[in-house]
Amino acid sequence: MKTLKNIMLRYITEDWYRLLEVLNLYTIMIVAFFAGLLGSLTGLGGASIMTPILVGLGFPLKHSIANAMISVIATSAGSSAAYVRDRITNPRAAMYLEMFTIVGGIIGAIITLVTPSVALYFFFAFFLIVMNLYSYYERRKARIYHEILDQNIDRFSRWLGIYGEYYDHSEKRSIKYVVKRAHIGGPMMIIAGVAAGSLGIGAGAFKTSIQESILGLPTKVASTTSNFIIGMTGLAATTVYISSGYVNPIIAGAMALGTTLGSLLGSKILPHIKINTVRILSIAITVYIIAQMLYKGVSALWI
Amino acid sequence: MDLEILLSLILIIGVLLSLIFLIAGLFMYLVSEGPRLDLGIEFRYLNLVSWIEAVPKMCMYQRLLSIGLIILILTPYIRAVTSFVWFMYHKDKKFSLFTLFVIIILTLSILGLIRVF
Repeated sequence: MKTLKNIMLRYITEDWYRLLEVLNLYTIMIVAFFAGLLGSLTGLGGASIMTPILVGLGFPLKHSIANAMISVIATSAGSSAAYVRDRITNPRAAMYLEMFTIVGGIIGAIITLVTPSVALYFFFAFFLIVMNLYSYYERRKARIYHEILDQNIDRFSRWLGIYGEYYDHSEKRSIKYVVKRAHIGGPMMIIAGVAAGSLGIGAGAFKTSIQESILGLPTKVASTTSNFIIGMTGLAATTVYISSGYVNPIIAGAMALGTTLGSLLGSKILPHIKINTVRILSIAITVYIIAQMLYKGVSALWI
Repeated sequence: MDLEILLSLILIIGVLLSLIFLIAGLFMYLVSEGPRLDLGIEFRYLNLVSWIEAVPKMCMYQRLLSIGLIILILTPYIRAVTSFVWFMYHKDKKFSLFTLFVIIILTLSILGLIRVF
């Protein structure tokens, strides 16, 4: 057995050998499926859960990020199709914001390729902490401003003229909205794009918070438009990762299939789960992800 | 046709097609190689175009998986191109320019002109 290991280590690195021992196609598909399921239930997204689990099992971080980026495109396209058709997603707002997120996504992917993995572990944990604090703070503020249709729209937003109306089934009425402060919200999306591209995640919660708190979009429009944008950011970052050699069609295929099926099941289960259960699940998973990435970062520093 | 319906159709068709190829590719891989991960093969392409060009030379499971992933990766690009055509047709110059900017950046990236050397 030791001889076999020595022979294999001539061709592959220690990291890849450990991967062969622990991970196989079934493991990746199972992890991707449950990550997609939990990501859909909690709103964290499948990739941000999948990457820390795979890294914990010995999967190299940059490989995980590059391959997970493709699954982000799959879950985004799969879950946003219905919301676009039902006119909850605002395609015009998406087109405007995508100009910024794709630039951020490309910058993020380049950052990952030139940054040592040890720094990425800490960046992953740091981003999740900041994103959660920002989302929590802005959501509280958004509740106060909720549904106040500001008539004093800035000149740039008036020029853009992005507005919309959707029927809210839970409130049984139509809700009108207008995009405001687009000159701030747009460039802010570059940061969201950098985070998504560099970490191989959708960064949907962060994008939703920006749209809600700065652009003044209603929560449902913000979250569905964010979901729609995520796929485009994923594409921009993926094109950079392809030339890096980190994208493996077998691993990327298993991840994309697993997370898509998991997120589809999650969207069916979600309406039947209590909001408190979702919150507890979300907090527990976020704490796990942060702890896992910090642990890997500190371990890498010590070695 | 409404832009929303058009985009929704593109997303559904893109995802369904890619999932069919991915399922077929993974099944073929499991049948021919078993569940172990074939990490000895290097998948380094200059850009997305060179990946597409390499597809006919691949073995069956690699070909199916690559087609599935390429369809998936190109789905948002196709929706950007469709949006551009739709905005042009409806003489919406502002959003035509926005989508054109997105298409130009993505095209440069797909052609491998934006990458780490």
